[in-house]
Amino acid sequence: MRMHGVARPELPARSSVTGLDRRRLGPLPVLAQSVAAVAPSGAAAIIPAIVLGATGPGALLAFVCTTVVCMLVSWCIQQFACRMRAPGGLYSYSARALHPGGALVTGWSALLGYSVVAMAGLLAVGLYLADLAQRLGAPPSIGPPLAAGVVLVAGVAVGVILVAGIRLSARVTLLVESVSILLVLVVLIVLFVLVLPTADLSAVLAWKPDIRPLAVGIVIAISAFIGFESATTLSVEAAKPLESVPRAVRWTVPAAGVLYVFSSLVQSVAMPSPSISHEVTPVTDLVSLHEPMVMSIVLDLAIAASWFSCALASLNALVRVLFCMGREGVVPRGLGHTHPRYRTPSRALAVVLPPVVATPCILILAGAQQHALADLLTLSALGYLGTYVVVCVATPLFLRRIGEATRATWIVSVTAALLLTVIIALAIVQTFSEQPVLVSVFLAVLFGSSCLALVFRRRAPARLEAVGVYDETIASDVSRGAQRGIFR
Amino acid sequence: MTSGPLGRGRPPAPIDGAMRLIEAVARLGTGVTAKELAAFVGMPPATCYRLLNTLTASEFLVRVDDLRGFAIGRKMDEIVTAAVAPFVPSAARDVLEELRGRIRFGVHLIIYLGDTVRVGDQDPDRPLHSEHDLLRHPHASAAGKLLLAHLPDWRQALPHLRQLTEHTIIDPDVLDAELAEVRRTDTAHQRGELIDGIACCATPIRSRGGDVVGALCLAGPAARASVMTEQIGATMEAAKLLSDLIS
Repeated sequence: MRMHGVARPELPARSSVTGLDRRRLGPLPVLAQSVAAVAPSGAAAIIPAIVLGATGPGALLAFVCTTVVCMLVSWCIQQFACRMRAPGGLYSYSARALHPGGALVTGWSALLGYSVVAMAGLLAVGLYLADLAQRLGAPPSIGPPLAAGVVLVAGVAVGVILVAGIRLSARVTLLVESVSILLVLVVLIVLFVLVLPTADLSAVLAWKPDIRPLAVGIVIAISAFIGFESATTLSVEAAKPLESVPRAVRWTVPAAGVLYVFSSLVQSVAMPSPSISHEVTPVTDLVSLHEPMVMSIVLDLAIAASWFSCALASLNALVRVLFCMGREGVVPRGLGHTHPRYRTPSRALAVVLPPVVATPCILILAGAQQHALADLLTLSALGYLGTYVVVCVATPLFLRRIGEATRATWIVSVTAALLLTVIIALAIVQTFSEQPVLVSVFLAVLFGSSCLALVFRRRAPARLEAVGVYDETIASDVSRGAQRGIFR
Repeated sequence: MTSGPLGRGRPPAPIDGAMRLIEAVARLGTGVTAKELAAFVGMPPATCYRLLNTLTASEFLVRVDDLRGFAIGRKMDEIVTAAVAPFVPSAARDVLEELRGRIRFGVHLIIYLGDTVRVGDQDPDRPLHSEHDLLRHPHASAAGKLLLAHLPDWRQALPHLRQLTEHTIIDPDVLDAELAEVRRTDTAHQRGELIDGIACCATPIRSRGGDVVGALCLAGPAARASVMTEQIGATMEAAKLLSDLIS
C-alpha cells in the first residue's frame, strides 16, 4: 500500500499538444467525425455492389461477418480511447505499447490511409457531380474537365473549412453527413418497396456457406468500414473526450453495418444481372432502371455530399497525425505549428492539401476515372488495415503495461489481430494479382518508414523517443484541495 | 471475490463502488494504480477498471504517471469546497463587529468561490432571512448581482432567471443593464426582489489584483431602504479594511 510522502515526478504545467482548440466539441460532432470518415452513404452505394459481384448471394453474410470483425477492432481502440487523449489516434496509441520505430511505421500507414481516402473522396465528388451533369444533358466531352474542376473547387472548400476551426468543420461534417445518410436511406427504402413485389427473397437469404467467396467478400466489405476510428484524432478538441470518443468509435461500426446489410439486401433483390456491378455508380443505375430521373439525381447528390464530408473528415484526421509527428520531430517541426487564431494544424494542412487535390485531378484528366476510385479505396484500405492490426496487437500489451489487463482483453484482441492478419494477407494477395502497383506502394511506404525509423535510431534517438505525444494530465487538472475562502 | 480494508464481502452497486474508489484514491494518494485500488476496495478487477474509466471520463479522477496511476481530479474541488465552511480570520470578524455596532441593519460577509455565493459570516443579531435563496438565486440579491456583474459571462453561469417575488428581474437584458450600473457605481442593490419586504445592498471586497472576491452586505426592511443607502460610505470603508486582510 502506498502512503503519502512518496517522491513523485512533477506534473507538467502544459500539455505537449497545446495549440489545438482544447475541449470545445460536444459528443455529436465527435461522432460525426467517425461516421463521415466511414462515408456510409457513399460506401453503401458502391461497395455492396462490388461485394455482390464477388460473392453472389453471400454478400449479406460477408457484411455481417465484417461488422463483427470491425466491432472487435473497435473494442480494442476503445481501450485506448477511454484512457488517453491522443490527437495522433492509432499512431500515438501504438507508441504506448510498442517500440517507437514500430509506432512510426504505423503512423505512416495511417498517413497513407487518410491521405489516399481523402483523394478518393474528392475524386468521387468530381465523378458523381460530372455524371449528374451529363444526366441533366451536358455533352459527354466536357465530363473530365468538369470533374477535375469540381475536385479543385471541393479541395479548396475543404482547405478553407479545415483551417477556419474545428467547430466549423465538425458542424459542416455533421450536417452534410446526416443529410446524405437520410437521402440514401430514403432512396434505398423506396427502391426496396418498388422491387419487393417481384423479388425472390428466399434466394437472397439462402444459407450457402462457401468459405472462399465469403473471404473475398469480407476483404472488400471491410473497406466500407475503415475510418470509424478517426474520432480518436479529435480527442484534444472534444469536450469530454474519454467519454465521447470511445462512444463514437463504438457506435459507428454497428450503425454502418446495419446500413450496409440493408443496402446489399436491396441491391441483391433489385439487381437484374451481375454485369451492372462493374459500373461506377451501380446504385444510381439500379435506381434509373426502376424509377425516373428525380430519385437518381437525389441519390447522386447525396453520395457526392457523403464523399465530400469523407474527404473533410479524413483530412481532419490526417493533419492531426502529422501535427503530432511535427511536435515529436519525426517530420519537420514546422508541421507541429497551429494557426494562432483558429487553433488548427494549418501548417500540416498547407503541406498535404496540394497533393491530395492534385492527384485526383491528374487521374481524371489522364482518363483513368473508371477504376481509379476503386484503386484508391483499396490502397487506403491497406493503410488502415495495417494500423488496425498493430493497434489490436498493442492493446493487451498496453493494458498489461499499465496493469489493467484482464482475460477478456487478451481473448478479444488476439482474436481481432488474428482475423485481421488473415484479412490483410488475403487483401494483399488478391490486390497483388489484380493491381500489383497498389501493393508495391503500400509495401514501399512500410519499407520507407522502417528505414526512416532506423535512421532516427542511429542519428537522432531522442526524436524517436519522443514518439507518442498525447494530451497528458497537467498540474491544473489535478485537485488542489478545498478552497477555504479568500482570507490568509 | 477479494476482500480488502473497505470490502464488505458483496459486490457493490456501481455508484457505491465509484464513491469508494474516489475515497480510496484520496486515502492511498496520487499515483495509486488500478490493481492496488481493486485490492483495496475489494472489487473484481474488471469492474474496478470499468468504474475507473467512467470516473476518469467524467474527470472526477485523472490518470498520472504515464497513464498508470490515478489522482483526484480538479472537478472534485467544487464538491469538497462546498462541504467546507469558509475560513474567516478574527481580524475580519473584528471589522464586522465594529460595523454592526454602528449600523442598525444586518451586516453579512459574503464570499465568492468560483461562480457561487457563500456566506462567510452572518450577523448573529439580525440573521439572513433565507440563506437557501441567497445561494440559489444570485440575480435577485445584491451580493449575487455584484458577483454576476464581474463574471466574464453571467448568462452561462445563470441560464434561467426565476421569478421569486413580483419585483424579481427576469428579463436578461434588463438585468444586463443593471449589472452594467453595478460595475459603474461599485455597489449593488435589491429591493423586495428575493423576499417580499426585504432590501439589501452590497459593496465589493477586492483582492490585491483588483478581482472582486467577496462582498459586504447590509440587509433590512425595504421600507428603510433609503436609510440603508446612507450607510454605504461606512460599509465601503469597512470593505476596504477587509480587502487589506486578503492574501
